[in-house]
Amino acid sequence: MATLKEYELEVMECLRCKTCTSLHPPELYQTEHQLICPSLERFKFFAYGAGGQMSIAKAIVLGNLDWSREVAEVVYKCTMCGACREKCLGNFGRIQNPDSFKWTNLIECFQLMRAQLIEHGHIPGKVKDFLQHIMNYGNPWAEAADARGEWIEGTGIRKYNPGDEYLFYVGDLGSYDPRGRRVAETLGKLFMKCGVSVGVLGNDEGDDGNEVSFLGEEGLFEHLARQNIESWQRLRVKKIVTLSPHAYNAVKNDYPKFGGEFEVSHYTQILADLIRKGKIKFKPANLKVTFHDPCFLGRHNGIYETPRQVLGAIKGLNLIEMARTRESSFCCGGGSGNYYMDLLGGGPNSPARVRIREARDSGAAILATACPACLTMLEDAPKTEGIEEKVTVKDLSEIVAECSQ
Amino acid sequence: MSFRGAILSEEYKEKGHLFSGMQILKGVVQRKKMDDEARKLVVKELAEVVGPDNCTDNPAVLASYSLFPVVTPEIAVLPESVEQVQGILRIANKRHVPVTPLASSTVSLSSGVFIPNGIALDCSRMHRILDINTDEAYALIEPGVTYGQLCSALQAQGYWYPLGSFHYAVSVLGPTTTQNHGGRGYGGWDEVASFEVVLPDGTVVRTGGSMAPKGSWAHQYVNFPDLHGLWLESNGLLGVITKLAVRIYPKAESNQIHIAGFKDSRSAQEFVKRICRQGVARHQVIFWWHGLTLFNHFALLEKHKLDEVGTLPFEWIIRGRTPPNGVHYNTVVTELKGYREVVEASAGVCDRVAREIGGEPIPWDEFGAKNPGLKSFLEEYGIKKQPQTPLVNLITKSMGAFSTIPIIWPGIGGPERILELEEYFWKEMALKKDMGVWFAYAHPFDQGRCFFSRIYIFRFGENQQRMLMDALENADFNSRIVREFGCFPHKPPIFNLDAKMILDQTGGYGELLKRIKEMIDPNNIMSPHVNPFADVPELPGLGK
Repeated sequence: MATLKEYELEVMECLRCKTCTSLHPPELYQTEHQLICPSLERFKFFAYGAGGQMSIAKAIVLGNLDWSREVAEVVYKCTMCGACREKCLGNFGRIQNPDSFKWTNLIECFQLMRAQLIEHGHIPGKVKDFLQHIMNYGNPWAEAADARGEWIEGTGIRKYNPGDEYLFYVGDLGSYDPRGRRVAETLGKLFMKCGVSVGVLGNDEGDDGNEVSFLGEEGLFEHLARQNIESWQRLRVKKIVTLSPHAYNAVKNDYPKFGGEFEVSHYTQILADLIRKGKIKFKPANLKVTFHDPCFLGRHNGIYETPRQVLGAIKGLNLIEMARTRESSFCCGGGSGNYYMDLLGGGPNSPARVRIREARDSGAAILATACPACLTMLEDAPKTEGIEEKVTVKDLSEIVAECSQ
Repeated sequence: MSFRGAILSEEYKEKGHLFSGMQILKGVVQRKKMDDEARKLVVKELAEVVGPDNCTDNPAVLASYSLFPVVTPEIAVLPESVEQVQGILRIANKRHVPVTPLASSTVSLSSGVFIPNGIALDCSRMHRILDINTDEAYALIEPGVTYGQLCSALQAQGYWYPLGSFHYAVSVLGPTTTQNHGGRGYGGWDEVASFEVVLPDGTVVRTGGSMAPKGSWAHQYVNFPDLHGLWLESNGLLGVITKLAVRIYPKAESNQIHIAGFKDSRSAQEFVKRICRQGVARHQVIFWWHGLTLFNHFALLEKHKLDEVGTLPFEWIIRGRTPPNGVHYNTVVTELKGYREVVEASAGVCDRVAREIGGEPIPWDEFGAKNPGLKSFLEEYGIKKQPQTPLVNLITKSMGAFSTIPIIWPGIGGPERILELEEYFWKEMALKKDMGVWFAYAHPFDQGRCFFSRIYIFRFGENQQRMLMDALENADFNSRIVREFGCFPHKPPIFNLDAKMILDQTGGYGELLKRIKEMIDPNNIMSPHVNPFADVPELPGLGK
């Protein structure tokens, strides 16, 4: 297994300058919000930001800190949103990407730290439960595997057959979470209405493993990935459309390492294509919407404009941008399995509450997102903040469905 | 590809190491820590003041409180109010536990570079801008307010605050109070009008007009001794600053940058003195051709790919005193701002004075054609006041390109003294094997009564051991530049031995400072690891 020694030069050259956790110009001058790191926003101690984690890595490399429960308590509070990688002005020593001069391996370094924590037997109880449930049940809630496909019943959405153009990969949240199920059903029906050749796997669907990978359990991730690849190849799947950007990330960026070469799209890309082809037409609307860029759609995979194109196609929909948008989007706090584990906890500084206040301040009445994890994290925040009259949270697919003819 | 390949030749690429300083720290600063029972008791008491979520002894959290985590504090605490700061200090005083205050926990300049024991009093939760008063032109801020936060808030009101070398995530308090330079509009000591400070025994003190309930925070000078200087460069030794009032400046009607080239530093200094002492400009920078070349290069690399920008032939930069043909030894950048008519006239004055001294005014477009990176950078800093790239980034990238830490740090001194220092660097250091000198830039402070010079000496290390010896042999350089050149280092010393060697030269001043420290902090709880009056362990290798 790789160790931190491989990143020694980068780790030691971190100057703890804190640009990794801060908004930069020009957004900096457009908002009162300064921080871009959800964990630092929540806990305030610098250790919870990227620079702080690098300090921990530095201390371990220097032999002044051991892998321990205390280290795990801090390291696992990161949602792996990638904002730090976007903002780091460092990379003084080694260029990872000659084109960007950014230290592109921050996230990899943190994944490695988690892998080493697992190897040394130090993981928080909730993380352990998450991983064990996925290993044993195929989902983090320890729900029965044969309940995975229950959501399909009565929807008219059919199972995937070889020869269907798209496998609609719904994922854990779309299969088991009540809110996620509603979105999966909305989307599935939208696809059918537009004549898209699509099917789902139901009980035969496996966990995509993206959160497992970011939690550092590479062995389990490989097992899950290979299982899915084998299953999809057996079904002669060529194209996949995912509900969640997390699944999109794993299938697009990691599955090829294990021989899984598929043409994968996030659902926003399919919707954009359907709109371009005239298969979705809209009735006039009167909506003020702001879009929350999911981290795994935006920063991890560079998809910022497609969801905006979809929303922009709805006449009468006024799209308002928050200051922390696109590459500077502020994470909802749900990444790295936190939509289940909730390691960041509640409180007024919880990322979801901070984000919903930002949405309210933008003047929008709807906070739209395109990720079931974001939806889960953000949906209750208006009520907790007491502003449910001012702003509601919706999935982008739901807005499209409501506004389509 | 190595980042250092951006300028280094193959021979130097893999040499050098940033770790050499770590070993020094371990030997120097190990002090007795609390036992587990004592620490748990203190944590419990502090938690009652700040809440359990804002107090921790988790070693992973503590590791983030030192730039070099070979030594770390024992407890970190996040107060949110003056009352909480008072509570923390009273506990620390009662228990004789050291306390080191920090503003934003970023690249620490002084006492926070490493914290060997006790409590890290992290003020980053105290991040409110309490008042922006455009009538009296000040902003009242808490210690955790960052440059980005302040600049963003001021912009909305048509005002600005100098960012200086720092970037937007750094606290305003840290650099403003710990870099011993003055002059209005630079971002140094003279920007501070008044303070609120909590003394080690919990007493709250306000300086200037703010000492009176209806007095003004902008009012620095009252009819009593001006004490606010006590907390400038105090390095956390004399209390915790909980508020500061900084001077803010209205956006100018017109902003221009004047460029002039000179054949030597004396001429460049003369130009600067004549311009700023007549009030023509508030801010000027003298670039040496090394600094100009490197900053331009790295400014370009911030926005363009290496393939487009190309590499620099490194050796002629770090060894050459004589610049290439067509390149001036010094280039002075003068920031002109104010009313339109005044700026236009000032540009004309700069042209005339430059020629009188034998210099050459350079049209802005011509300068930009030769130095596009620097032109863009200066436009953002000097004209738009919205820097995209922090200067500190260019400085540290430039330093990082040399693949080593500098042996010698910048200094501040009178014009003639700085010229002597420059000659010393060229004659004594630059020609040694494997040594490099990087002359970056100089600022005039206090209308050119003194100059801050950013000059670095580097060794291209053969190995870590050699660089360790270099660092040890030159660890007393700060006190040497005081003794031999009458210049002072521009940052508070991070070793108390360093500070002691300087203060030992100051006679009554050092003695008075010692008495003040003992009076205000009799239990020596405030940043004792940088206290020059406490017992100082010997650094190995010194005393020769």
